[in-house]
Amino acid sequence: MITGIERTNSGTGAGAGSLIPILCALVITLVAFAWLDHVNPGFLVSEDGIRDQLLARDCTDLGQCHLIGPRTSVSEFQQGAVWLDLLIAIRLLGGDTATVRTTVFALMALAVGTLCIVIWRWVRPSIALPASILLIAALSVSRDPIQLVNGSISAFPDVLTAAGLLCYALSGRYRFIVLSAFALGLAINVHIGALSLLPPLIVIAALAGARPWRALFAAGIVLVATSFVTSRAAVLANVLALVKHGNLLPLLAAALSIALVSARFGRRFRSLSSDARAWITGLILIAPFGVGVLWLMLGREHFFDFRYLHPILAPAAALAAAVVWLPFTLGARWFAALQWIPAAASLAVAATMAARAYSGPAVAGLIAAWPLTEASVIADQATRLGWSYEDLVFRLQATECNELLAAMSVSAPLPNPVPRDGRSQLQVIKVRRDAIPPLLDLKDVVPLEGNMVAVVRQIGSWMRPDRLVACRRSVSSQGAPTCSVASRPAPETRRPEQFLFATRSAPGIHSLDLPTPYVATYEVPLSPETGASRELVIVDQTSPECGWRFTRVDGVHSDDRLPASRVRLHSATGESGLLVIEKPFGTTACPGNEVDNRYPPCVFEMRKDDPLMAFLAG
Amino acid sequence: MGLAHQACVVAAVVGAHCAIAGAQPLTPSADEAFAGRWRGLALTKDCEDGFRRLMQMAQSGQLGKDVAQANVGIFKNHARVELVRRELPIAVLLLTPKDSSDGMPPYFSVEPGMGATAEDVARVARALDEVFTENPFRPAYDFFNASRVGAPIPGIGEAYASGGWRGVLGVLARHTAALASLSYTVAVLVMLVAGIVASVLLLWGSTSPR
Repeated sequence: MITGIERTNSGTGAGAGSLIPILCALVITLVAFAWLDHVNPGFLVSEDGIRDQLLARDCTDLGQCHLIGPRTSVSEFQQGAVWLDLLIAIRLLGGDTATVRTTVFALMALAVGTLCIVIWRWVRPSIALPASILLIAALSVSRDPIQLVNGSISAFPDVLTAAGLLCYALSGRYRFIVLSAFALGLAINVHIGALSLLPPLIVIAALAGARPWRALFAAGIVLVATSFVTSRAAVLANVLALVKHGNLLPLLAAALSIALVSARFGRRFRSLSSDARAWITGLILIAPFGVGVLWLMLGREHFFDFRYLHPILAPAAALAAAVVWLPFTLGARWFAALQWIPAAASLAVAATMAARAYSGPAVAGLIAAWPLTEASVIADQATRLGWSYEDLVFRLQATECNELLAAMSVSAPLPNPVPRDGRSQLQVIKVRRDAIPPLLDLKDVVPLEGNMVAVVRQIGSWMRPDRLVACRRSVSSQGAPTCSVASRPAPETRRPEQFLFATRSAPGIHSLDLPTPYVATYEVPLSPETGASRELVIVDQTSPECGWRFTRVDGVHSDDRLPASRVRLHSATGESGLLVIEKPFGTTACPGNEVDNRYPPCVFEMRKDDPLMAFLAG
Repeated sequence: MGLAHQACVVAAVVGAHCAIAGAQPLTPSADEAFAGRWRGLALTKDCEDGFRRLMQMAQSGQLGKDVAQANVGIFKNHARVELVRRELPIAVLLLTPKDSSDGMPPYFSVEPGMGATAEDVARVARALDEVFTENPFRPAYDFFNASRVGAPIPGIGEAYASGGWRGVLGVLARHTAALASLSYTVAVLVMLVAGIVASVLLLWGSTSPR
């Protein structure tokens, strides 16, 4: 077992020596913020992120605040509302999505700084730096921060919880178990995966205190109160889910058993050296997570993702740093500076990585085609043109139209109860400022950030999206295709009293489910103008063979060979027609694992000699 | 009826269907089909008062002298009404969200089921027009259907009087699931900020006792 090679600052820690760990932690915090900001450029617009923004708007704009977060991937269990609380606070203070992003990185960096100072003062200064750098590396891997979803800030309450438990295990001071219980109440209601820190809380509360039941009672009260005050609807939903599956009583019995066993070993634990208690605490913080993951993957056949590691990132980083540090303590008996070798090495590795990252090409992040800031500008312009968000479903022509539509919902006004009819559709195309076509009407041009502008204009469409039919035809069986009218949002969802996150963030328009391989089609009724021509282009092609393609034109003349991604139509009589678009999913020729988002492909429509034609020529 | 009512209180909060009184459930496949057809909509607990009034109208003869009672089954996004008649077999009617804004009642499509006539449809439609002054169909997002700020929720005493302890539990569940006001959320935010700042200061200022 480790013996004390160096002494941590003890007692009150007054004097210049006590400032060193604080300065070090502050530097680490700033470095972590700068690094995380650098490796996470821009936003990745996701349905989850948009939904959360809309739920926050329900509170700030309409005074209807949800005490529950979104549904988890484990059926019937719900996330809490603490992430929404953060979004609400930022909106109330006048911030936007850029402010949310900054706040997320600040909290992640503060988590790293907290780990640094706690390890420095309570374990070993020479482990603090490697542990902090490992935690920064782990946080750099997650994609949650650029999606601005609840998992973005999980590290912060998780680190507070784990740090509080470590301090309690080493000191037995009640303030730390209360701190941990409060932080865990937040952590669970940021992301439910933090529940894996609940068994460690019970075990350590019972092990480390001289009066374990008092500690357990205090921790329980604080944990339940924090959860209930912030997310009482989520607590109710999760309790009902546990009751429904018959899990509530077994879990309570298990918690009681763990507490009884831990309390029995408390005196022995408290008699151990602080180093031994620190090692045991680290293992206690990690072990239940492994059990939980096994239950999730084997019992519920749940997938696993790196993002779910957040409850154990800090303890794992500290333990890994301690394991690397351990051999150097042997040599440090004769030469104390040896114990700092892991810290120096981690610093050198971090400096090298940073030098490469900052001097090399810009980090290729998962940048959205339509960042929320741009979508907001376009949403404002659409509102000025008289468009309600709900009317834009099927009527928005743009690259990544589904993504743009969802992103616009974050800032679009409340639904207009009266639907918009007619053949008008909204076209949006992003071009460089210096490449605006000369024939274009400048009132259609909206400035975006940097050197970009968006052309936002209306067009009298030939397509009739209100009568779309979606079909799926199985490739492996010869049965008839299953079809569904791709209905627009029901009139009842146009209630001007809620932001309707579900329909806005995921405007899926049919519920056809078919196992792959299958061919998806959309049949689009055409209502052409007499004696006119129109060119239709499917944008967002993934590949010529496996992307969406026009496969049939009925009732309207076309000289193009089909299938094709571009088709020129001419109507001499103005009679109605039909356009069929299709795409294979999971077939032998197209085995990719693409997601069928149940929304029609993005089709851009142009008149003859349209100045925007050149931008879609490719 | 008491038990059915209490089951409804909690079940409606989480978006499950429930029966106010005795109506036979639809087959699972029919239920799923309806759920899929109007995915975005749900009948919430708030609709219960309207349907209770419909039942009272039946008991008082306002749905016709031959109708003794009405059973109502409320499902996720549709309802089933059984008119219990004194001399004729039960008439079944299906209430679904209305697809157009024409005709009466304004919020329901009333379709005749087993044993129902056009006359049954007409009188149930008239009654629904009378008892539902606002659209009972809400966007269907389970707990997000919970009672909105300012929506009336029965008190504990009222709940106990109508349904005993189960009634009290149901009302507590509704209070718990209900949306909160902005002022409540601001108060929670202040508490959270204070707690987080105190936690960070405690950890950053702490030292090991050894």
